[in-house]
Amino acid sequence: MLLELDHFSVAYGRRLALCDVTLSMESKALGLLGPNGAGKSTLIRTLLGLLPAYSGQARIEGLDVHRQGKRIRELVGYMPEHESYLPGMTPVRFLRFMGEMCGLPPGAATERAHEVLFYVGLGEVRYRPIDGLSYGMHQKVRLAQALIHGPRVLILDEPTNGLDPDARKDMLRLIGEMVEHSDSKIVICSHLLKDIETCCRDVLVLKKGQVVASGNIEEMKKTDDNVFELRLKGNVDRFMADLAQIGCQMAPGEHDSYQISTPPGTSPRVFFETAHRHQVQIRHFYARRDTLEDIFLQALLDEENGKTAHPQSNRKEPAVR
Amino acid sequence: MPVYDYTYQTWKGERRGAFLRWLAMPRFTYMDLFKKRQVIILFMFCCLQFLLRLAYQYLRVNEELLALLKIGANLPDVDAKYFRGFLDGQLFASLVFSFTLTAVITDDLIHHAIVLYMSKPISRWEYFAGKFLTVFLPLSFLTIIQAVALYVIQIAIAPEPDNWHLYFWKDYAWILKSLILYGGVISVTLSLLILTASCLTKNRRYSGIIFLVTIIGLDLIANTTSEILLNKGYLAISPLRAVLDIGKYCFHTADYRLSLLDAWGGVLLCWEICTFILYRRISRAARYEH
Repeated sequence: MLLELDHFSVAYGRRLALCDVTLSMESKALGLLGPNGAGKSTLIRTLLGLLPAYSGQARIEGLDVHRQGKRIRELVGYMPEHESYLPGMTPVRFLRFMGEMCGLPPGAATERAHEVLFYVGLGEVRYRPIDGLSYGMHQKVRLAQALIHGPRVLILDEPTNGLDPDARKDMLRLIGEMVEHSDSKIVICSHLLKDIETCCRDVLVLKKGQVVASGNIEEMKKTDDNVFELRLKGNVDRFMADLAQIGCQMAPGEHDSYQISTPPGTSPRVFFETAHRHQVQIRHFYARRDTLEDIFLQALLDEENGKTAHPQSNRKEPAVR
Repeated sequence: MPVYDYTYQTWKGERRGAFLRWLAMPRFTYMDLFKKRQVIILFMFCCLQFLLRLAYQYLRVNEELLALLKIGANLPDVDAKYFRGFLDGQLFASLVFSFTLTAVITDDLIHHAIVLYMSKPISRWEYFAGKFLTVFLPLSFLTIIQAVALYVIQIAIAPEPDNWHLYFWKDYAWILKSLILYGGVISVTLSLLILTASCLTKNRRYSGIIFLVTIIGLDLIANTTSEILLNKGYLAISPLRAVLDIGKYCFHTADYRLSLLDAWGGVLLCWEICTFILYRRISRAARYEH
């Protein structure tokens, strides 16, 4: 099991950053989503033993966070959010050092440092002083140091933060490749929904230190039976007026399309019958699916209204798969 | 994994033991530190007293050379006082060399590197031990190693009818223990003070200034307090004074100003405060609470 939390709380002084979280998740690529201050980074740092837990139990890959911190850090590679490096070193020396700190023998650490730098695309700059590298390159050095010891779990804290579009695309490609081809499990913490959607298979949504949704992204993106996207040609006004009479609600969508929500129990046939009546052509018809953004926003909204977005969250039994 | 294979490959080899991991810290620091010519020159300068004393010990037992240089044969003995003098001198040489080491934690604080260390399989105490060793080793080389080397050389070169052979077990054997103890107290105290100064700021220059101000400032405070309150015990506030007096006790010289208890109390209090500050600062940095 990748992550198991049992009434787990973390506090900064008197303020609870994670509040009585109970969940159990297995995933190849897990995305931690949430607005700023939701507790994503706090959760990661506590799992790594950087922060003490206030109460409860936490396990990562079956290892207890309180008792087996060192063993966890042997298995986990962590890419921090902020710029972190040792000045005056070249990337290859920095990685060699980090490798030796993880227990790699000096020879293996050197070999591995070169290989990992080539892998992340820094092969050409591996002998340049680390202080003179661009932000994007720094980000890759941080990813490389997390990979140096071949971790079983890779935790990436905001991996695309501050990157230009090309560098971001490159970073997401690397992460995607690792998800596809490596044995490692990957946990990505981000507030960028697109990044999570691109790289992750499962998601855990946090808000104000509590889990508001969790599960497989594809399963959560359920088709909404009552919302449709249509592109029309012909007498649209009369078509819309007829639909409004039976209780449909219309909103303009992208690219001259309309988003129409029908009352519960209404068959989609009503669109075709009305279109036939008013000689309107339906050029595009699409039963709308939720995006990750919809899931995220709905989860936050539900939490505000006092209900949990998905039944999987805050339960002890396995949530995903 | 060959370099031409660009797909991700995990590393599945054997790992080294926990003790060898944090030893990489001093090794990599020295590789960077002793690349600088200024540091090498300063280190050589700090070894100057050792070389001079070595020459003196050689000269003292070489009567032909003494006659050639027209130096009188009644040169001061190589005894406990001689070795204490050497270590007192090396205390100040260590103080000077300490300035090259005042940024060992500051650099980690400036560049958030402590989080990287803490995300590796080492504990906070191992990080602390790694940094401590980084500072302690060169300082112990300047004090303990050199003093023991002079001692061993003296045993080796002392001529046959010399006191060093006649009364070795009675008068000279105990000096080795005192050399290690006094050298150790100097090295540990300075190492902890350097690390504490280093962890208190995120500016490389300020760490050196904090170190200097701590040494001089505490000495001034100790002297003023003891004079105002007419109590010599307050001199123990100054780590420098306490260390020097421990040296005097170690070598049985009677010109000390503090009692043995006060001197050890002052040194141990200094170690405790430094360790407390260091642990708190490292823990805070690991939690991103700069």
